[in-house]
Parts: sequence; structure tokens; C-alpha cells
Amino acid sequence: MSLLATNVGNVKLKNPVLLASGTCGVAAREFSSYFNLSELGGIVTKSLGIRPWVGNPTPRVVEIPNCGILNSIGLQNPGIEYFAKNELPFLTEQNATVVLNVVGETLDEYIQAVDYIKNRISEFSAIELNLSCPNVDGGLDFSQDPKKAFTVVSEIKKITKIPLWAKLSPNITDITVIGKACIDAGVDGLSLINTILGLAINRWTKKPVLPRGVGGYSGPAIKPIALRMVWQTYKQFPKIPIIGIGGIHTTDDAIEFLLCGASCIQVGTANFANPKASIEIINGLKDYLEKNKLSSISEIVGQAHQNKTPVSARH
Amino acid sequence: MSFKSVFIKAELTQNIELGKDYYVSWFNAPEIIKTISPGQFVMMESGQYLLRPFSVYEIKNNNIGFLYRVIGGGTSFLSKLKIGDKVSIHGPLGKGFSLPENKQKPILIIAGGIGIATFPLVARIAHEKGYKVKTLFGARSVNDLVCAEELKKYGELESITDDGSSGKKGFVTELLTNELKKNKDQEIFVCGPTPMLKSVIKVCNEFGVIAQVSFEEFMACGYGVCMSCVIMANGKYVRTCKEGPVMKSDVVAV
Ligand SMILES: Cc1cc2nc3c(=O)[nH]c(=O)nc-3n(C[C@H](O)[C@H](O)[C@H](O)COP(=O)(O)OP(=O)(O)OC[C@H]3O[C@@H](n4cnc5c(N)ncnc54)[C@H](O)[C@@H]3O)c2cc1C
Ligand SMILES: Cc1cc2nc3c(=O)[nH]c(=O)nc-3n(C[C@H](O)[C@H](O)[C@H](O)COP(=O)(O)O)c2cc1C
Ligand code: FES
Repeated sequence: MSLLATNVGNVKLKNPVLLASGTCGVAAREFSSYFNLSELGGIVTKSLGIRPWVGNPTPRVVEIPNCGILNSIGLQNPGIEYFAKNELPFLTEQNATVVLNVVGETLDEYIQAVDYIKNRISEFSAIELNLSCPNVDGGLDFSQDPKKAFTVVSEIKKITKIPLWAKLSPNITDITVIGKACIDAGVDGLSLINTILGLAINRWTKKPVLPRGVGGYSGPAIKPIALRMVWQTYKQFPKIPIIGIGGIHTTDDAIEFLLCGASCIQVGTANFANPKASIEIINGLKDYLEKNKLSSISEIVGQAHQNKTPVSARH
Repeated sequence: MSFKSVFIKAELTQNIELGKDYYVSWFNAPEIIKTISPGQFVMMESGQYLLRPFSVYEIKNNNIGFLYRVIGGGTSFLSKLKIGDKVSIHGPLGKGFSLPENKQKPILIIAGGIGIATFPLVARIAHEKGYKVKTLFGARSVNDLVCAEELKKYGELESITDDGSSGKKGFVTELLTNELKKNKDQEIFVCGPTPMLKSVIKVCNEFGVIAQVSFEEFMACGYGVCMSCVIMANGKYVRTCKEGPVMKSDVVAV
């Protein structure tokens, strides 16, 4: 078995590096020009609904110099049925490990979407519920209200045996409150984090750049925030597997997330400027293990918590 | 169309200043040239967080050239590169122009501003294959009529400027209207700023002709994975970086 093989709870991955939802097309087909999809720990599909979503008007993305981007794509997706018929066969043929990301406007829509594939355990390694899109009206409800988060997770757990991850929003005072609600409802993993609400202004038109005003912030600037949330969640719930996401561009970034307590990580916005970012991280992790004479990548998961941390650091 | 795009580090071999704010940068990139078709583009490292899209202007031996106007941080970064500097280039990307099956059908190029950058390669290849090529070029002023001389090598060129500093004063749609009144049976290739594309498409619609239009939307990834570059086509948002940049004028909403 490879040194990079990882268990995220009951989900077995070849390595701890996945492509993040919405940053690899509908289903990562475009990446097969650059590497074999089976080399990845896995791919996470675009958020898919029970019906196609049109998406928001343009401009949909604005660059924040040196920091990343704000996006307002609005969950444009072809729907789960289209995906299952037109994209999934390709992924299976490529031997890719697939995590299905699901979204709904209502509880019922989440249930219908999962219901559509609920028995296809061999085709999906996990389902990731997107409880946290900032770019649609009401998109954050499931991630800001612990009762709603509890309900959606427990309802989905009732209908499928496919392992279930909940993707949470950082747009909340205490992420562990929602984390706890999901854990109480039986979730198998927590994906942390989705994008952070932000805004960009055009000084000439004196209006926000994005048509909806706000957008989701991602890229290098959000890494410390994501690390903090992984840290807090692991500290409070060391047994629940964490999928670390947010500003990961390099092997060093990935290692920092693992040290904070993530069992695996997802590469998001970094894919845009470098389609091979994920593969470079996988190769970097291999080198890291060899150099440090480790026998498994899981040895470093949560290691930062073993060292005494300053209790009240002064600024 | 099936082609393989690559993500490589390429070395700058030449940087030429064409006039105020206009540059051509050449890179050694045989891997990209191998599969290129006219009208395609690349994403290029430009010292910013995201890469920047540029049309392929020309290819020469193992070198690929980009013609651009300096308008911000990325283009300024490129203009200051030194021979031997290496940057990441991702390409070739997107769907380019298709030459008509009928070799007798003349090709009419409509360029607005820096949209001209995509046409020298297109015009040369069409010319070499025996097509008759004519270019209508609209620019702000005489200083912005870059590479007009080069295009004249492949056929007739008529220019028009916003301020009348060269040729007629006015917009390229006037030249297009005159041209279509003379002959509607031409294959029309268009590239330029979005407002100009919209006016050109309206004229084409009036004459009932379908043009091949190259769109220049904001692109975050350039290879189809982010959904930032979309336009409405046949009632759906489609990716201009993947289904385009060149698309048929009759499918897009104006
Ligand atoms: C498919 C495609 C091909 C292109 N080919 C060429 C080319 O051959 N030569 C050339 O000079 N330019 C070309 N462009 C435009 C070029 O990508 C932009 O000029 C460049 O991204 C500006 O980067 P910057 O960092 O210098 O400016 P920024 O600081 O990013 O932007 C400065 C200004 O340019 C505008 N801008 C930014 N990105 C784009 C964009 N993608 N399209 C249009 N305007 C933009 C911004 O809104 C802003 O007003 C092309 C664009 C596309 C989508
Ligand atoms: C353009 C874009 C689209 C996204 N779409 C989705 C989506 O459909 N579903 C989802 O769960 N997350 C989506 N995300 C969030 C990412 O998966 C990721 O959580 C976030 O961008 C933070 O990671 P990063 O900084 O590495 O990009 C999107 C992010 C971006 C930039
Ligand atoms: S630029 Fe990302 S999909 Fe077109």
C-alpha cells in the first residue's frame, strides 16, 4: 500500500489530495489532458441539484490582487441526472475516485438529489452536502442554523449508506456549533471551508463589481481562516474526520492543514492558474514522507495539537 | 475538435515594442505550436494571481508570439520581461476559426482595437491555402492601427478610426455594411471589444449572414473549470473559453 493512502473515516483514498467542488468543472473531465484522474485522491463534482441551475449573470469573478478571487457563479450546474448519464461513465472509465457534491434550495431538493443515486455505493466514495453556498439566496441557511443542518444531515443519512460529508460555511461566529449539529445527526466527515463572503467595489462606476454585490472569497488570503477553523473543529471533535479546504496551493499548505487536523485536503482556486497544482502537491507529499522517514501520511494528522500552544497569545 | 493542451514553462526569446503601449512577445514553445489552430488562445503567467488570456498572434519556427496592449499589471509585467526569462504558458486553448469548405468563398475579417491580435495567423493561413482575404479594421486612432501593414500582405485592408486620424472617421460597422451591400456571400470572422461585437452581430443579423465571432470575456481559468467566462447562447450560459472563444453569431444573445 502506498505511503500516501488515507482513510477519511470509512472512506479509503489513494492519497489525501482531492479537487474541490466548483473548481474542476462539472466532473474534472478537463484535467484528463494533464494527468490521469486516477492519480488523485479523488475529485469532488460541481454542486449538483435535482434540476439544472442557470447560474448568475456576469461578471462572475473578480481578482483581488495577490490575495485570490471573489466569485459569484451561482451554482450553475447541469443537474444530477445529466451528470449521471454524461459525466459519471467517463469518471468510472478513468478509474477516478468520485465524491458527489449535492445542493438544494430546500430540504426536499437535497433529498431528491441524493435519492436519485442513493444505492450506487460502488460509484461514489462519499457524498458532500454543500450547505454553504454564499452565491444564491438562502444558500447559507443550512450552514448558519444548527437545526436546519441537523435536519438535512439526518434525513440524508436515512436514505443512503454512502458516507456523508457536510461542507460548512465560514460565514458564522462559531463553526463548531454547526459542526456539532452535523455530528449529532451522524455525519461521517466535515469539509471545511467554503468561500468567505466578500465584496469588491468599482471606484469608477461607484458600484459593486459583482451583480449580486457580494461574492465568495477564495485563494491564498483565506488559508489562515480555514486553518483556524480546521484547528478549532479538530480540537473540539478529534474523532470526526476533517476535509481541509481553503487557499491550498502548495505541498507546504497541504501539510499545514494535515498538521492542524485535516485527514485529507481539497485543492480549489489553485487549479485555475495551474491545472497540475494537485499533482505537484501529491508528489511533494511523497518527498516529504521520504525525507522525514514517515511510514504513513496519517502520522502527521493533528500533530500540531500535541505540541503545547500559547494559551493567550498577546498581539 | 480534439487537441492536446499543455502547461509548460516557456522562455522569452524576443520582446518588440510596436508603438506606444503595444508589444509583441515571442516565446520558445514547440509543444504548444504542434497542435495550434488559428483563433485559439493561451493563458499566460503575468505576475498576477490569475493567468491572463492572449490570442496567438503568430508562430515562427519554434516560437509563439503574442501581440498586446499594456493596460494593467499583467500586460505591464509581460512587456518588461527579459530575454531568457521563463513564464508558465497554458495552451493552446479554446475553439478557433473554421475556414469555409468552399475555397471560393472570400474571408472578411472584422477587427476592433486589440482584437486585431488574433488575425495575422488566421489571415496568413487562409491566404496560403488560397482564400481571398480582406480586413476591415476599426481602431481609436492612427496609433492603434498596429500590424495593419502585416495584414496587407495577405489581402486588402480598410481602416477606420474613432477620431479620423487615419482613414475615415467612424466605426467598423459602417465598413461592414458597405461590404455586405456589395457581397453577402463572405465568411465573416470578428474579434474586438464586446460592444463592437454586439454592433457587428446586429449588422450581420440585418443582412441575414452568420459570422464567426471571437469573444473576449473575463477568464479566470481559460480551460473550462470555473464557469466565469460565460455568455448566453441558445438560452444557456456557455463557456467562451471552451465552447468558444469563436462562436457562431446566430446562437448568441445580443
Ligand atoms: C480569449 C482572449 C484573448 C485575448 N487576446 C488578447 C491579445 O491578443 N492581446 C491583448 O492585448 N489582449 C488580449 N486579451 C485581453 C487581455 O487578456 C487583457 O488585456 C489582460 O487580461 C489584461 O491584464 P492586465 O493585468 O494587464 O490588466 P488588468 O489590471 O487585469 O485589467 C485592466 C483592464 O482590462 C480589463 N480586462 C481584464 N481582463 C480582461 C479580459 N480578459 N478581457 C478584456 N478585458 C480585460 C479589466 O476589466 C480592466 O479594465 C484577450 C482576452 C481574451 C479573453
Ligand atoms: C469559482 C468557484 C466555484 C465554486 N463552486 C462551488 C460549488 O459549486 N460547490 C461547493 O461546495 N463549493 C464551491 N466552491 C468553493 C470551493 O470548493 C472551496 O471550498 C473554496 O473555494 C475554498 O478553497 P480555495 O481557496 O482552495 O479555492 C467554489 C469556489 C470557486 C472559486
Ligand atoms: S475561464 Fe474558467 S470556465 Fe472559462
